[in-house]
Amino acid sequence: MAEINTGGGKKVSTRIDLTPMVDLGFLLVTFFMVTTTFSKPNVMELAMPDKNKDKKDEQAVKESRAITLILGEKDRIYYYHGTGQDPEHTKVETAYFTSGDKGIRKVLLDQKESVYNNTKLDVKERSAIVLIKPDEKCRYKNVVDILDEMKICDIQIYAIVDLSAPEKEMIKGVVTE
Amino acid sequence: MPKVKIPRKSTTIDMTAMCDVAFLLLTFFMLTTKFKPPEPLQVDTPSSTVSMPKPDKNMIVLTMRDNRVFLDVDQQQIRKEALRMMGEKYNVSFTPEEMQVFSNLGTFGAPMANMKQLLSAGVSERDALAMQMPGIPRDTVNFDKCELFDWLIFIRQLKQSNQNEVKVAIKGDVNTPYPVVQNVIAILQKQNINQFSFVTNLEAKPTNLKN
Repeated sequence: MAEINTGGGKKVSTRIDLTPMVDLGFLLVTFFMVTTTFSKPNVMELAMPDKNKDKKDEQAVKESRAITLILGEKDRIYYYHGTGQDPEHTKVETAYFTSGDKGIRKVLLDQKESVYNNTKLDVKERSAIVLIKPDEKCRYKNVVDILDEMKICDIQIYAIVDLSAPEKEMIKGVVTE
Repeated sequence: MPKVKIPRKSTTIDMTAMCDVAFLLLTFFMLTTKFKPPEPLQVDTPSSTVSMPKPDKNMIVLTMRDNRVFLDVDQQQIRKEALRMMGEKYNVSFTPEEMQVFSNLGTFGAPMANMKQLLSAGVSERDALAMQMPGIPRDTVNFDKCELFDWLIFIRQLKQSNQNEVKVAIKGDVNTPYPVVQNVIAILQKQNINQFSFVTNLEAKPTNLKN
């Protein structure tokens, strides 16, 4: 029988160079790593008050507990303490979505603390109420950011309310630097 | 001085182990990868610190960008039924093929007037056409003529008859003007959906908070 000549019986190594295969492997790994999306989108829940419910069990917001935030154009926040019943004597200030001294977070935490330390209020009522009033000129990001800020500052009572005409006038005159 | 003889060693190393690792990782990433379905309306969602994963099932997702609102819902059967009911209301009839196309469409933003055009388009043109759609028509005052309102009503009816509780998620682009958001929320509230959620990206929670 004919035999295959393997070079005089000399054993050929069965080892092959794996370097190109490793190269290819890592190339594909890199590709899948880049295209993979690990982070699933998250959701932020929001509950709006029921419009059809009768207003009997609703309580009026106490001026000393409330702070009103008006989301304006160019990522600006106008805020004032209270609910703006008396526009003439309400001081409107501005803040931004940044975290530093000019940030809204400091304002919210200060409000929370001052309400908590307010001895005139009943112990049960010592939590801040935030009224969020987005202006027509603000963008969606501002609304989500401010709701997120409520979660960060751990404010339990907040509501999104429509902006009223006198308030539009109030923010017009505010000088911003 | 006597020289120290260093034995010359081969520089080739055994690649087998490295190869094993590479392919192990490769398999892992291949299995975990989920390619994103093509979206007709690309949005850049805002980020928040809330870490609650979005449920996959029984969600109506409203995608907003600029002035356009697109809609998406799962379950093919419900999509077909909803399309049929919408067709009845707006006097458009659809062939079974068109319904089949619609059930696999994903996010859509076609008004009923353009729906037939979109569904009968060829596969290659459909993606481009879907992107150009003006969004589902909304009406701020007259809810009887508001297509978005009707879509939501029909989908919720169908889901409820299947004993599925459906949730509404709003997925907006960061630059969506607020009046659009306000309008969408008004439509939801009109049909007593007072709880809904905003889709966000995760961002790290700040740690330097007092108290």
